[in-house]
Amino acid sequence: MKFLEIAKKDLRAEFRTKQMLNSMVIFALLVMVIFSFAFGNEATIFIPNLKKKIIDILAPGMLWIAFTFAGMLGLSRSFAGEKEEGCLDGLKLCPVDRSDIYNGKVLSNAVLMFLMEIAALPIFIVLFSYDIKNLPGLILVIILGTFGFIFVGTLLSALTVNTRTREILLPVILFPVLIPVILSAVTATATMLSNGDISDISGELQILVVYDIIFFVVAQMVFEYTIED
Amino acid sequence: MEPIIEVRNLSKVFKSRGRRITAVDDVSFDVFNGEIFSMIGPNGAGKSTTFAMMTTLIKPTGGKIKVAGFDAENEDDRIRPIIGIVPQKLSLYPDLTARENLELMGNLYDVPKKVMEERIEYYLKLVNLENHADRFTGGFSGGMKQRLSVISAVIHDPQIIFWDEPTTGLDPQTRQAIWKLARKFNSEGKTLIFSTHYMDEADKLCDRVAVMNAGKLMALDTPENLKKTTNSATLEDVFIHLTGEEIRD
Repeated sequence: MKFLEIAKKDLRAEFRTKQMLNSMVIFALLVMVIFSFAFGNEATIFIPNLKKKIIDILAPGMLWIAFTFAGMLGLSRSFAGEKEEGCLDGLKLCPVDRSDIYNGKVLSNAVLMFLMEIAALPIFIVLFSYDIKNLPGLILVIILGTFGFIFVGTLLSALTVNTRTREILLPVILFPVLIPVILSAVTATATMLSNGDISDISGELQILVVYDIIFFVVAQMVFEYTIED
Repeated sequence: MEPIIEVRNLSKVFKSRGRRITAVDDVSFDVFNGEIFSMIGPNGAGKSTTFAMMTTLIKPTGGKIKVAGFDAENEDDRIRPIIGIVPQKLSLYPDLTARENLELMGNLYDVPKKVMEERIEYYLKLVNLENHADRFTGGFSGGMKQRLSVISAVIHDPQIIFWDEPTTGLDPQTRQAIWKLARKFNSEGKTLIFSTHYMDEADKLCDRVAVMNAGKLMALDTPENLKKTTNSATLEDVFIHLTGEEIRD
């Protein structure tokens, strides 16, 4: 259970300074406010062929842009801070399994992501006037999508920590790998926002679950090599 | 005395942009149980790389290291609990207090809670940090960080302590305090391995000194014997005699 110690120290330090959390929440809110102004009144126009309003097509993608870009701010600092203070070597020298370091980072990143999403989701619902009937379904999609993002993001964040251009390199290598999870999450979110049933998104949920499992298992196996000097 | 660390034909080659850089080249030596052993050498001599291999942080390209009988390459999980490391770049979390930093290390090394609390109080007093226990380490001076880093490395009561450049950039008072600590740990039976740029430190503190240059072990003996065999008055003269006067990058 040493991963809990690693997550605990990360979160303790973060809740004291709130550097990342504040940045992530503000960034997510800004994205939503800017998109809400940009879409304007035209977004409420109904398209008969699709039986949807323009906003129903755009909003799910916008929500996940806000989540993933805000999450990227946290991910890019996840290992960078450790590296800069020399603490990553300190952790590697402890009798701690390498996967505990990964799991600890996953946990702390996930807590920050979920806090950001808890703050951003109500604002999204208000700004785009949604009346969501299947909130648990939407929350399930967000949880699965977020874990997919965190599992891969934490691994690649460790991989890029030794590079000089890590803040630039991380999104460049992360987003292509995230395509399956983002596409499935956006489609499932659109269905949930249109008051669809959970059975309507069973395919997307399967993809998200399989993606999460695969990347979690792969990360446990390869993380050791990503943090080698 | 029996060796607690055995280094045999150790080498490390780094590959960078198509170039092969030999940081450590066929080095062999023993460190005996309960001694204070020092590695000295100019910049780029291979001291830190040898340290990193002995502490299991990096794997050798060739050769073998045994620490307390365990193979550093394949039994690193058996070695880590019995060694303590004070790195050159101190691994302290600036947004945690001194006590929280020590508790984190204690928990990662599976020190029982009650024992850990007693040790934290004892060691904080020992290094005069008891009044700063609940301050964030980000605001500590270099000397305070070094002292905290030392006790964080021994919170799990290791058999062997590795100390990479322990007094670099510290004032004379803090250097004296660090030397006192080193002697105290040694008197408790712990083996200490230093790397240092300060010749007086190696001379006063260490039982044996290894001189490295360009990845090779140039000499290994007591400070007195090194002076005798090179006809030198001081360890600094020994150092210059063995490694040359050329300035290193």
